[in-house]
Amino acid sequence: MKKKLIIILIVILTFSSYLPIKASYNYAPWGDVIEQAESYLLKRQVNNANLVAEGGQEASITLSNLKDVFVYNEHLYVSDANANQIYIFNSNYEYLESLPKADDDLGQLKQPEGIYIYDEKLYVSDFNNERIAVFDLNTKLFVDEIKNPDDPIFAGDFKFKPKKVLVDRTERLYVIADNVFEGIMEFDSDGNFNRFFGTNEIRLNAFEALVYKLSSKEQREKMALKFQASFSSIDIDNSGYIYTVAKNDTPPLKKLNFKGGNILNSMGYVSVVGDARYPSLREKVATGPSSFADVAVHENDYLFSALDDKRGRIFTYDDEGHLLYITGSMGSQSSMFQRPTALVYWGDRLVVVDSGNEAIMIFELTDFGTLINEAIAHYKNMEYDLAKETWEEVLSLDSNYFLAYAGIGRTQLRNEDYKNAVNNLKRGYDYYNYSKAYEQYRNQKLQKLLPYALVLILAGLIFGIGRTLKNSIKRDKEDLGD
Amino acid sequence: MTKTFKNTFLKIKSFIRKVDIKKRLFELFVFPFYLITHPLKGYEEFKLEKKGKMWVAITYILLMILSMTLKQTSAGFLVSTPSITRVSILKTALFVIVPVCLIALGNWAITTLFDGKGHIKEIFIMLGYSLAPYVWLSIPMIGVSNFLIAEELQIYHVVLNIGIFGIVYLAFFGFLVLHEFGLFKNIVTLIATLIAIMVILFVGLLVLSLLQQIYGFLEQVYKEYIMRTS
Repeated sequence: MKKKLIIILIVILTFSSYLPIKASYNYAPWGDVIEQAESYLLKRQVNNANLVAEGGQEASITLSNLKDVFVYNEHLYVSDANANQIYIFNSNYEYLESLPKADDDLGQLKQPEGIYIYDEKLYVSDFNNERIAVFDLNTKLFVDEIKNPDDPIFAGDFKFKPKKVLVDRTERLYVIADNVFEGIMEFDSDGNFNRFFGTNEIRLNAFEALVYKLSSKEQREKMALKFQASFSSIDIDNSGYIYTVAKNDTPPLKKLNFKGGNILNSMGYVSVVGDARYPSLREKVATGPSSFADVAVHENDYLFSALDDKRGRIFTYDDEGHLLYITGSMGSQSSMFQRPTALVYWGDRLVVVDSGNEAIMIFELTDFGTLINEAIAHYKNMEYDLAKETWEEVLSLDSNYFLAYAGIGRTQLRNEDYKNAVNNLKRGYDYYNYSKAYEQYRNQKLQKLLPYALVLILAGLIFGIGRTLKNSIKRDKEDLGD
Repeated sequence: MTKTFKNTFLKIKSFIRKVDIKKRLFELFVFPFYLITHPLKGYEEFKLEKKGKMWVAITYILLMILSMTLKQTSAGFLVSTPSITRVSILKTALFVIVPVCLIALGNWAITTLFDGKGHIKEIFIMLGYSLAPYVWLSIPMIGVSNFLIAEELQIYHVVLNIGIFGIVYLAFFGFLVLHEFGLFKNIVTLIATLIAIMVILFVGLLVLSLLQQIYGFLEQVYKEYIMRTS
């Protein structure tokens, strides 16, 4: 009996090491890739095989080239550039209807790309019709359009081909258009062109700059034009800051204020660039830095996610720039991405549309991810003790989560528990707060030690003076003696 | 019991007398300090009165390796690199020894062409001595850095930079005096030394890659022979 048990145990132990335990990854403070528990898991995938209309009937549509996704009033809006339609789904991911209606002549779309909804109005960037089409969501009818901007800078054969659109709370429009390199186009609420916004910089390397400096005007005209990197997507948070992502640009993700300056905090272990380590030479895998296709801001304003369409990963950061977790992967399995195009938050859920496997993918938080979000929420709401407790729970699930140590340390620093704060902040590699905590800790220690040190120094001084006096008296005596 | 204790004590005492620890300490600390305060006169004594000792130079090179290692392992949290899993004392040692040997070799090769009077052994010893200010400043500063906060880190960096300046200062006057050069000629030979070091590195890499290719060729021949015969 015992023998059998031992054999069974040995077999289990041997094979358990081969069990595929799927885990996500993150970056250690020193830049290495370390494993981390999964924070988001694919909960639901809506594709052509399991697509149903409301009430369980068969839906009459086929998802194909999905370009953008938006969530408004518990409804999901998805744009399809092949079918030239905007599909609307309810909160059970059942198909409701599509826009534009067949009899809406003015509203017919040609390759719709980005969509945005503000105040019951659906803004569609109608790529090949060269306009932004506006639909009313109550009547489901076309109401307005924004055509080619009437401004002298767009003279000549300029074609207004919008790719992404965004509306802020004053109904200003922000548009990313094809072949526009000056930045985001800003339109006022009447549809007139205002200005370019948040221009990317042209970067020359040292050699290019030298060549440019030494060349004459005629030579410069013959040179190949070097353009700014154009944005790939935008999103806006509740305070009105605009998040942009651009491929082949540094930094790839920006948070723009109204003036167009980048105010993104980047205090994390790795900067806000997606993958911090990547192969640069091998041919069989994707090489080079992450290329962000879309960015989405959580409704709580301090979490944002960026979608990398090169390796199919979603990177989630908090507003200080800490990389919280990484989700998703590229591959031909149905649960993986093939050509992810857009990303949006639906509460805590993440919705991704993929034009490769023609599906809408819904990710939901795991317990681990929920705890992380909760801990950050507690910290933002100034409930520091609760934050500490939550971080401790995070650590019980994944002791490699460095941010948790830093989080605990910050609370201890606030509670003036400097000794423990120093230790935890050191484990969490939070240099700024470590310095603050250590300053207090050192003061405490000095306060304890200083009296003894002063007494010692005083005693030394008295002894020294005494000896000199004694010697001088002795010398005087000797002098007198002579 | 007391007798053996007394015996060992006497032995240690006689050993200390034989080693002449006072003289050794003088050579190790006072003379390098004298070099800093009186570089020209000091190096003349170093050369003519043979006051530069090989063991001192090697000690300072070892201390330099120690200081570089301590900097990686025991420096304060705010100035240390995050992970100390990749510390390699061999790498650190090469990082000190190779430049010293390369500079000595390159400088000797150039200065023999420029009528320099220094020997390669002298140059090597002089380079060892010139590491002294950095070692003196850095080893205590690494200890102090454990008690500094972010606002005070400048102290640490400034002191270390003074140490690096000390290395350059001592080595510069060392070359000047050992080769009996003027200021201008010294600077010219130092620039030439840099070029010489590059040439040495280039040739070294070339030889290394050639050897690798020869090894690869022989391996191929051997493999082919085995394949054909078996």
